Amino acid sequence: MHARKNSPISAIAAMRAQLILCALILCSPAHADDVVAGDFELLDHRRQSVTERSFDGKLRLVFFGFTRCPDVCPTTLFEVALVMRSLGDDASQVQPIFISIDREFDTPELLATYVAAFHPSMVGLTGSKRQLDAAAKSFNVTYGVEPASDSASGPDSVFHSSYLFLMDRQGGFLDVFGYGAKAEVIEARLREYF
Amino acid sequence: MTIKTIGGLAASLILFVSMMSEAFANFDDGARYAFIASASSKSIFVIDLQEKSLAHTISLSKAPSSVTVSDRLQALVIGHEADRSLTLVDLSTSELRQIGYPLDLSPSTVEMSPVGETVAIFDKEAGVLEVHAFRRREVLLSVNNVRTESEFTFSTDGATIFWVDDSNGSFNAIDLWANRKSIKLAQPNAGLSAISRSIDGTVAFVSEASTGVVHMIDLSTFVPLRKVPVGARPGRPWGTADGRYMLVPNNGGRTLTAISTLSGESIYTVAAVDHPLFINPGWLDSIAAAVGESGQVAFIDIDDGSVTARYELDGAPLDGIVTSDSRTLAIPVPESGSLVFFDMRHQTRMSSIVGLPHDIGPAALAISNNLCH
Repeated sequence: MHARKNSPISAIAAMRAQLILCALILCSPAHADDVVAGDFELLDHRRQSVTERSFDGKLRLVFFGFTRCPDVCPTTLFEVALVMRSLGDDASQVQPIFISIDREFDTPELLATYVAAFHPSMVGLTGSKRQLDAAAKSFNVTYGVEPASDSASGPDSVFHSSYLFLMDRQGGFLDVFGYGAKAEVIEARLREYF
Repeated sequence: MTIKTIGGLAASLILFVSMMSEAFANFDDGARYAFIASASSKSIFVIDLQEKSLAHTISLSKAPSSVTVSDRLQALVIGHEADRSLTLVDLSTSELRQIGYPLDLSPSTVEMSPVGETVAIFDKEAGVLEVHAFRRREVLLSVNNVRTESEFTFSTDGATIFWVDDSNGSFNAIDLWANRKSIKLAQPNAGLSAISRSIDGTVAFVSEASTGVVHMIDLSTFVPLRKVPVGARPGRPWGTADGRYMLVPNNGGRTLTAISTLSGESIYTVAAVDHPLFINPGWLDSIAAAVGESGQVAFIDIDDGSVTARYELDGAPLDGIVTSDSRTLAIPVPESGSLVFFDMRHQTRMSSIVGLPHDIGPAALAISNNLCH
């Protein structure tokens, strides 16, 4: 097991982490079916500005994460890649989208390499803090990036919601998959909307 | 005759295929299968949460006292308190191979670390806490003089274990290097609850029943941050997966209090159910189910505190679980030998699995949270 001692960060730092988190999620929709709006304005891995309307006509599988994530992100994107391969020609109806919340580390160039490793059609998105905060809020996603206090204390602390969102051909919310959902479950749900 | 022969062959093939599928069924999908122990039947019931059905029954040679599951190890860890041992069940193989794991202590409590490779084992009577790494069959930590009536809580990296000792009002921690810390949080026997931590792992929340407050403690410095007044005799706080709220069941009344993790203030207190036992947030953390000890269930809109639906179970419930897509709530009801499903999105009651023994324990699910660290 990989384990490291907690770094002796101060109470102020700890509360700051709470503030990072909570700044993102102060306002959330009140009704259960309205919890995901799905709007964003971000930069893709080719440095092109994109919004939720840039993928009109395609169903979307949207996941928030970061390239340094050791398990949840690559596992989920691997399942998405399996779905895309299994769909065959129908894969052209689906746009997989990975939104990195680790904007300091995940440059568009790094994202390009990362998403291509999973599937050639996968798009990597990032943006300014304001843009990422807005996208996360629109998807009701929680995230936080707490820089390491010093180099000896280990890597940055990053956390994020691990839902995989299924959005319709105009970017509206259709469904959500929890972490651990297998490719066949995702594919079956997708095919209901073909 | 030819048709009959082909028909017979087809039937044989169907039987063979069905036997093959039975023989090669495995249950290593950590988001799909939940596990429930029954001591009287010496069984573990495998629940298919996708189909909402009983998928399989694992027979054991010894009565189980607890069950926990690791997605990382693809294994069940079954405690046998009376027999001072564990049974590990390999979920990745069709044979569901069982491996005996003798202990030097009675496993009153078996808690899986969030990393999924180590397990904390507590002998309540002896006051001994051990942490085992199963892959290496190694005891990483063994410590004496541990007293608690409630569950243990791991840090997000699995390297530290926290607990409260209500008999002396202390809040305690020990890491895998045996560094131990303790602070006094309350008067002896003040009714300290088990610990819930914030999603970023920096703050612990502990209820104190006698004074009706929730303590917030900085886990990196071990300094109490503040006390938040809530309702009468609060129980263990339950955090929403998005980190916005701690939801506190007030066992002295019929209310639930929501604490904002941003401000550390209580946002609202809502009439929910008599003597609320536990609270399960779900449907993208927009809805919470408060479940009372007599079987009342109230669904609450987390943001505004309004009650959206109410139900009655056929008996006293055990802690519920919510699937990783936040869509389905499953509540074991031992009194009626059932597992009752609710749709969290629409707050409706769905089907039940019935016919389970009347001593079923809580359900264990490998993947139920929705936060990556």
